[in-house]
Amino acid sequence: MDNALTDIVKIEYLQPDKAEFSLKNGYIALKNDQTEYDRVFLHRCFPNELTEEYLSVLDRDNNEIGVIRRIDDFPEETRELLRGELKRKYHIYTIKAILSINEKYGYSYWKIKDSEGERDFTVRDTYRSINRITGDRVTVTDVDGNRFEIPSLEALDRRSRRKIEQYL
Amino acid sequence: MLYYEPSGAVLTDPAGHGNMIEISKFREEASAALLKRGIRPEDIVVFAETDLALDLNHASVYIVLTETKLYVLEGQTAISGRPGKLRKKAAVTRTFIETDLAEYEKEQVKSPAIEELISAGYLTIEYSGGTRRIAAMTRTAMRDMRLFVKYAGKYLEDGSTETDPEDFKDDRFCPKCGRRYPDPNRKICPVCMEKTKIYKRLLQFYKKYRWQMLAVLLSITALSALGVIAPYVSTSFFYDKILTPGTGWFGQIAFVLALIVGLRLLSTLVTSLTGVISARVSAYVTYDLKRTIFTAIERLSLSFFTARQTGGLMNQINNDANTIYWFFCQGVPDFLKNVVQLIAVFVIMFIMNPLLAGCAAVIMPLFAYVVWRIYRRMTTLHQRRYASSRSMNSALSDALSGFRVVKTFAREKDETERFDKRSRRLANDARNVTIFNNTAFPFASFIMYLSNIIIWALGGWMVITGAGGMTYGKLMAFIAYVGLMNEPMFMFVDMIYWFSDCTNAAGRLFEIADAEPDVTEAEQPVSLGEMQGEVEFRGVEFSYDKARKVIDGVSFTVEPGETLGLVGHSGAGKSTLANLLMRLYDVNAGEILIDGVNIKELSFSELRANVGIVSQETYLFVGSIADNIRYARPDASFEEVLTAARISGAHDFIVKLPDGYDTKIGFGYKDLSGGERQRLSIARAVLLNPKILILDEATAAMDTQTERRIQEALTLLSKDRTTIMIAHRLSTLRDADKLVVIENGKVQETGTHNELLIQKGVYSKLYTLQLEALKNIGVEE
Ligand SMILES: Nc1ncnc2c1ncn2[C@@H]1O[C@H](COP(=O)(O)OP(=O)(O)OP(=O)(O)O)[C@@H](O)[C@H]1O
Ligand SMILES: [Mg+2]
Repeated sequence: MDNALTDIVKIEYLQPDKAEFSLKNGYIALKNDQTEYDRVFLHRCFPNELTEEYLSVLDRDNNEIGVIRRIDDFPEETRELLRGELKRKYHIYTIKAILSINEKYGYSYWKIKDSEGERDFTVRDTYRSINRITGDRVTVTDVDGNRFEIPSLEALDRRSRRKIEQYL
Repeated sequence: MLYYEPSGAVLTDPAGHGNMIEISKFREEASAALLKRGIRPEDIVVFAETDLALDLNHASVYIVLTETKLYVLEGQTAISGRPGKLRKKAAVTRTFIETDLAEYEKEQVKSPAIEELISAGYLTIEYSGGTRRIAAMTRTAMRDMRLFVKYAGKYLEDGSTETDPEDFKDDRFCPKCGRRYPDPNRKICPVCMEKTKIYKRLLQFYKKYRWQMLAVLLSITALSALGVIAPYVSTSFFYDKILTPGTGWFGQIAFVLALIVGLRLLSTLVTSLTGVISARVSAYVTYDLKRTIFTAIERLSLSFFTARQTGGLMNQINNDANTIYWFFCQGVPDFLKNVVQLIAVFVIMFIMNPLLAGCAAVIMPLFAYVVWRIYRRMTTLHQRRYASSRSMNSALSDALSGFRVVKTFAREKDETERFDKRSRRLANDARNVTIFNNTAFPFASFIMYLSNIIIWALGGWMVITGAGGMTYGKLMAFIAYVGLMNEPMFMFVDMIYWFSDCTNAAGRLFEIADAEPDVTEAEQPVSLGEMQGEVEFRGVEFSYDKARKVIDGVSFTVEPGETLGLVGHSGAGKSTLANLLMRLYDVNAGEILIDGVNIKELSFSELRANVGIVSQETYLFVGSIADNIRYARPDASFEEVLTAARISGAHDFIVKLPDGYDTKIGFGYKDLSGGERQRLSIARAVLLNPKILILDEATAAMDTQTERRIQEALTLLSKDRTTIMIAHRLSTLRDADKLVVIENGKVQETGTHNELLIQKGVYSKLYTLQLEALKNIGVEE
């Protein structure tokens, strides 16, 4: 079944031998089969599960140029380039410890510690703003749309875990 | 010139800022750091601050546009001294330590813009032929950066420094405590919300029932008094008087029995009476409360609902109202009873033996505290169980409401598993609660019991030594009284949670009741009288959320009686334009005029009576077909209903139904086909007979023949009616006098069918494509 489906419609994959990525003014430029793009954008199709596979490459007007099946298919230099851009685009703050969660009427005020120090933020709809990704990875989105990540609930200290547990 | 932040840090000379457009606060340390680089405050045209360095690490970054250059000064702000709470003022000194400075020649800087990442963002400019990222920001700083883009962009383009004061009001923070408002649309700070106010408001609802409430209070006091007398009669009085010779009461057992039974009966009667009254009053109050909330909700604008889940909202209101019900129906009377009881017990105990009473007064609260600690654990368990039960319910309602999809994809097994998993989790959590109940409660009781034992021991010792005039009977009374104190102690612990639950519930409810609709009716509406039906969109801009303009400068006019066709790709913004004309949302910029009057100045009733819509999503209420058609005009006669149904083509299928117009439809009743539902929606709009009719894909689910018939009927009717027709099937629009092609929220082309074909633009392309498609299958139009 699945095979039949992928046979009918072919996804436009970017071929490592034809697609040339380069850095231009801090942006990624692409030369694909004679067509040149001075600025392209990467977008993970499955940001939660696959971080280096199925990357949609978009042009300035958000039209898809093609899909990168797997970063590893590309030469070392390109890999570095793409990874750097992905890292910037998907940059997210990592919660190292939860100092307090103060809940009032469904809203909550958080005090956390990240790699650079303590930080406060406000969350609108506590239950729905906490997103369980896979296993014990969790993200929290604040009023402004900033995202904070807990890479592993297990790895969190007991006190922090106790604080967030009741909202999961 | 522009100088907001009246309560902000002291700036030595506000006037010295010259004409600076101060988007972020221009603090002293910024001024000093920039001066070091030779940038004087009076040279600055636009100033803004962001919070991420280009490497996306936290930093203080000043973005400064002067008459000749654009500077990006990166650094760290060191804060020393006593920090204030969030935004509250504090005795601190701030120093800026520079790490990097970038300069750009103003003449070469073009089109500043914001590039949104997943959680952060970049400020970009066009510089010497390419796009560059020059600074980064968190979503929190994005507001300021957007303003920077706006004003810097304007200045770079034509040198104008005009500002809109609205942009400089930062009302994202509670003025009292400096915390963020959790909901940007509603300025309510949950921390500063006054609890006493909440209760005062709640009590308002009880005002109507004050006599009943007074009766409840009185009987509660009576009850407690009775409760306190009873042990005295059955112990101290019994042992020391009845059973002790020479007291005058000696041997009167029958009397004391009658007294005990009588007291008991009396207290039972009073208890049930109180129960009945408070249950009744609370039920009425809850009803009043729910009605108030529901009225408030009906008044709110559409955006309130899209920001929340409607189902969740109704659930929440119900739960909250119930919480309040139980709090007042049971919690408060119980609480009062226990307070009175506790006080009475203490008083009696003090009279009987001050020494022992004093001991009890110290020991009991101590143990109550231990019990409270145990309780705390309990609430977490309860919360967890509550969450699991919610998640199970949502899985269940999901599967049931989407049952058709579940069946068609043969996913019954997976759904069962999904349900099973959650159901098992609930079972686990429920088990934990029960286990905890069965272990912790006996344990807690045991602790309370221990405290009683201590008092017994003390009392026993007093009886033996005769200290403080203690007698055997008194000791028995004491023991009974100590027992009476256990319940209030437990109750008070319970009350802490009950109280905060109720405050939360009431707070949430009042929040809804107080929410301001974003679309408000004009206070003194203009009346058009007889509407002509001219519609004009003038430079309309709109976005659902600030991030993306869905409608971007749309202008067009529809003459009275004209039929306008709106065409465009899916997601272009056609339905949004219809929503705006209906005032389900308000435009962000520009205006919409009917007969030359801004629709914001019309009353809702006049607008809605004259503008009818058949929307893309048909919605039918549970009820008969006739009721559904009559929805907009419940007073319509049978004949009118019939005519409307005829025009919309609904009559044909309705008469075939055994119950005709009385057939019940809607959730749980007869299901109609997509086209049938649409015809009912059209009938509903036709019955309203509005001057302006919007048909948003109103006939998309019907075959072309049925569509044709309906359109002919509508045309007959629409001689002097303005019609706006939205359709993907271009043949639907063949009768349109004029077509407007929308692309990405902008008007791409305007003209008649023929004019647009000649233009060879988007429309002609769409038309050719559709024509070819039809030709391919052998249909010629
Ligand atoms: N309530 C909403 N909140 C946020 N975005 C919305 C909302 N409704 C619509 N949008 C977005 O606004 C854009 C325009 O939507 P609109 O419904 O006006 O399109 P349309 O032209 O009617 O499309 P279609 O032909 O598919 O009906 C879409 O990108 C859509 O995702
Ligand atoms: Mg639509």
